[in-house]
Amino acid sequence: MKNKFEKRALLIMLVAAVGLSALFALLQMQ
Amino acid sequence: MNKKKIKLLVLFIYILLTLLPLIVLMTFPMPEGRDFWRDFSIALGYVGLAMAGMQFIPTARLQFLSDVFDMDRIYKLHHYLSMLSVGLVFLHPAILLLNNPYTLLLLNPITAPWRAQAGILGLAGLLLIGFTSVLRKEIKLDYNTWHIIHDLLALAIAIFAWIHIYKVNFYTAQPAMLAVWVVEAIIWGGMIVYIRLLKPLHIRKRPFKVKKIIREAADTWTMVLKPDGHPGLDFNAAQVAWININTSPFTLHRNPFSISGSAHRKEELRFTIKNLGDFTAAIGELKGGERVYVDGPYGNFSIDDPSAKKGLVLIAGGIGIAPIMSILSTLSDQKDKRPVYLFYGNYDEKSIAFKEKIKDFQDSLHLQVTYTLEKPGKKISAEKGFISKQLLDKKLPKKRKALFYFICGPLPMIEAMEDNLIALDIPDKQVRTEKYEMA
Repeated sequence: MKNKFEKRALLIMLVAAVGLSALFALLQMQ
Repeated sequence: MNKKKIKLLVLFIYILLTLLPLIVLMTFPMPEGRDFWRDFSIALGYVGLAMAGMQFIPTARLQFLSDVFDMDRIYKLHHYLSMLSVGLVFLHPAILLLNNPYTLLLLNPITAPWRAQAGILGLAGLLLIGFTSVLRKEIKLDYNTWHIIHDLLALAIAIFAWIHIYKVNFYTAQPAMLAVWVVEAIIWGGMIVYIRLLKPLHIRKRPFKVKKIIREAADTWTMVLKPDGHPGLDFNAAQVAWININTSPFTLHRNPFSISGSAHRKEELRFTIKNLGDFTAAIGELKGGERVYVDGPYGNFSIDDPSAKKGLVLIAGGIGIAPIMSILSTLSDQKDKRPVYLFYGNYDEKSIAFKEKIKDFQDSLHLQVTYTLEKPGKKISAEKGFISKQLLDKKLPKKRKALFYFICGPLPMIEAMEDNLIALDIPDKQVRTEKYEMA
């Protein structure tokens, strides 16, 4: 209850977006 | 395909489409990188835009989504993910500026090239859409006006953002990356065409007419509709539909209402509506014969679900009684023998709707009714105050964990009930809430 599912989904999307963006930028530096 | 598989498939497609720009950036040959922060900010802008674009999917008005997902959850997710996408998109110029303050020159509206102008306009649109959505009530914007502004801004943002990335022409110079944005834009456009053209065309073929208006309480009416030239709507108890009265199905002026009639009576469609001073004020003045367009039904609640087999606890606050009347009428029509506990909270006796009907249901169903009134009167036996944990504890049987709880009412009431049910150790999966206000 109380938005647990929504908050988890939001966190997953945030980590995926920021993590993959950083990974891309790192790969571009190689 | 079962509900769980559809849910997983929808989530997979959502995540894939949101992360598609990043996946393509990393798997296809791209121009050499410039510096970490610049590339990082571009990637954030890409994923933020893809996520914002996914909001074009009209979450509350796609039947296959509303069949498997809880509508309140979908609304909340739409809200949260929108804010996340705005944050990600804003990180793009913020990082660029911090990394290289000369970027500031691109913000001068007179000298800035088109690619920057489009980006700035897109960002301004995002700020406005966020501002008007989060503060809609505070700035006293009525729902329909907000809806029009929201849709126009969303369209403008999509167009400007698209021009921005196309004109910058760095990563989009690669055919694979350009293809990603063409595909994303086709999905956004497709959704607009579906919801604003195809769906209204379909709804227009199935009009309803107002059969009668019944006064249920001081400011609450039931509008009874009959299908006009078609067999009617196939719905489940407590589902929701968007209706518009005496206008075209193409208008944005529509409102969602809970169906309050029995699912076994397809030849008529009932909505119980409380006068909240807006569009709802006109319901009591309808004469009958007016044309009504109905978009629905939506909602995935089902009284036939195995979790509701042992019995139901229905908790209504004010007009939250509408979907609960649909459940009670449906149960009564199917001569259901499950135990049902109704808790119905109101301000005073005058605001109680369906008094007589509820009395009839006590004869036809295995129903226990508890009224609570903030200001009790003399005619109806009611508990004073709100539906409290103590009251639920007193009225519910010992084996209460196996019962299914359906709560409908205004948000503060729902939150209070959720706390009560947590305190009573009721498992999360046995509780269903339906908020009675617009997201």
